[in-house]
Amino acid sequence: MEIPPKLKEYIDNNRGSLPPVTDPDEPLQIDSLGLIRLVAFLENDFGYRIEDEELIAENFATLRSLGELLATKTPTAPTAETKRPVEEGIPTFTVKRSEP
Amino acid sequence: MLIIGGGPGGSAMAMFLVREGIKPVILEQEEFPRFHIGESLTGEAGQVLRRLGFEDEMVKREHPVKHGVKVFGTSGQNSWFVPVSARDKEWNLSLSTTWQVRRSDFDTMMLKEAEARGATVMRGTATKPLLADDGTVRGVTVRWPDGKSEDIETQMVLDCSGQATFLANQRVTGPKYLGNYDKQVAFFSQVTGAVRGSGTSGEEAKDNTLIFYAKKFHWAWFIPLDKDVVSVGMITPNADFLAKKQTPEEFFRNEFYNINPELRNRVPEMNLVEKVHVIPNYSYQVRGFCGKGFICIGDAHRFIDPIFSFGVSVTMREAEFAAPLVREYLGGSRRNGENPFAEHQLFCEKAIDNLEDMIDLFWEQPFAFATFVYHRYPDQLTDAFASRIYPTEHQPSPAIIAFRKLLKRTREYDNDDYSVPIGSRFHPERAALWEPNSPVGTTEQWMGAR
Repeated sequence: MEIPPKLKEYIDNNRGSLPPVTDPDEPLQIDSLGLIRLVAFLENDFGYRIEDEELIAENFATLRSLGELLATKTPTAPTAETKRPVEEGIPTFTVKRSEP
Repeated sequence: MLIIGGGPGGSAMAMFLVREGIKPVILEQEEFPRFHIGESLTGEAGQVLRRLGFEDEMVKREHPVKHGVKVFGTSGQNSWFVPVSARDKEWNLSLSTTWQVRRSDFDTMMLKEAEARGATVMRGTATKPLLADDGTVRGVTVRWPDGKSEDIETQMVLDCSGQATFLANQRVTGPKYLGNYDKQVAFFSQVTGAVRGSGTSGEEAKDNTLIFYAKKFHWAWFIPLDKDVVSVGMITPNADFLAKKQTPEEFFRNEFYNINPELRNRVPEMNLVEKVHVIPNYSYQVRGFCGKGFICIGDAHRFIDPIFSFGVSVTMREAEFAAPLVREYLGGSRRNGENPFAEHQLFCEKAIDNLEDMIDLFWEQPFAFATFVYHRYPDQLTDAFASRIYPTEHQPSPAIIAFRKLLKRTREYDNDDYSVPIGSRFHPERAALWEPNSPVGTTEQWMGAR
């Protein structure tokens, strides 16, 4: 499957000092915490739902494996519920208040 | 009413019993203060201390204030953070704090306060349970410091003996099984000159717990104990230590920095101010840990893996839950059935099962776990990290249910044989039995015997 340009750009910008990916089988070399941000980005910005069982590093190892994973999915419009801010290095912590 | 063990479990048990109008005897074999490991409290442990009226004292004693747990990934470049949180009666979530404790000081404070509130503390060692014909525990044989032994009759024995697992080793309980984490060993000491966070709250708070992850079964901790001293330790597979043929201190000094690159930044020099202690990181689970005339509390019935510092919290929480049941039992109720504390037993077992599923998933699938913490179930996981793990606390939460699904695990509670799959990693069918009547009395001996 074609990797959306916005996603390719996100990946290229999140590989530290490594150059942009050119080979679909080239290891992306995003560390595990970078991968969490990538999952959040896919879910929040694209509306993909990554299943819990799919949260294994191999699915995010190369552009090809990522493309194969996403090819099985239909993105939905992100909802307010799934769209949570993800700050650098800080997990979201939502302090819930009951509605008045 | 006899409590075996004067650690935080025994002292909290005593103070909660005093609240119920019962003045117990605490039997403690060691002279306090004494060194003990397990120095970080969860959010709910902080709440237990507040309910017992210790907040002012904890502040006065300047115990380091913990705002959360920061876990560094393998490269040391990235981290995730779980804040300490609290829930109010309406279950609204808010940020909270708890404490780090030097156990020699903390345990002494707790024991002295238990005594001040009405408990009697006696120095001695429980050597044998006294059983009635129907198996009801009716006391223990105690060996006093002068070597003389004496039988003490009591209506109930509360086993707060920690990893000594007095009643389990004496086979008063059901069998004691080996758990999943029986192949690791912990090395730990205390250092000065360590580099803490630079903030006053949140992720960068100076007295947070830091955990350094390397790979499966290899990790290190960093827990501030006071203004100058930080507890540091590392866990490795026992086999790695045995292969190197070094003393524990040599091994600790040589291997500590290999766990994670960030450790060099945090502990620039190994200025050890405490000897290097060694404890095999064994885990176990005791079946039938409550019965006629006895309840085992905390480590006295189950120990999983120390990575997220649940030990003191769980033991104090179990003590709080048990106290009203003990009062009822002493008042004559709960005397008809086989096990007067069956509900309490199941209640505690379910909670620790939740913890076990969380810890197992952390080790089995760290990427999925971190994604859950960071992105998928942040609120539910702050609950779990705060040790809100009991059935009355909205557990198992969607996070725990997701863990079980990923672990391909179900928990069955329909009969006495609950809490399958204990020992599932190394013993697919059933965990190995702890050797009954083992002559091995201490963890150090146990490690040697292996």
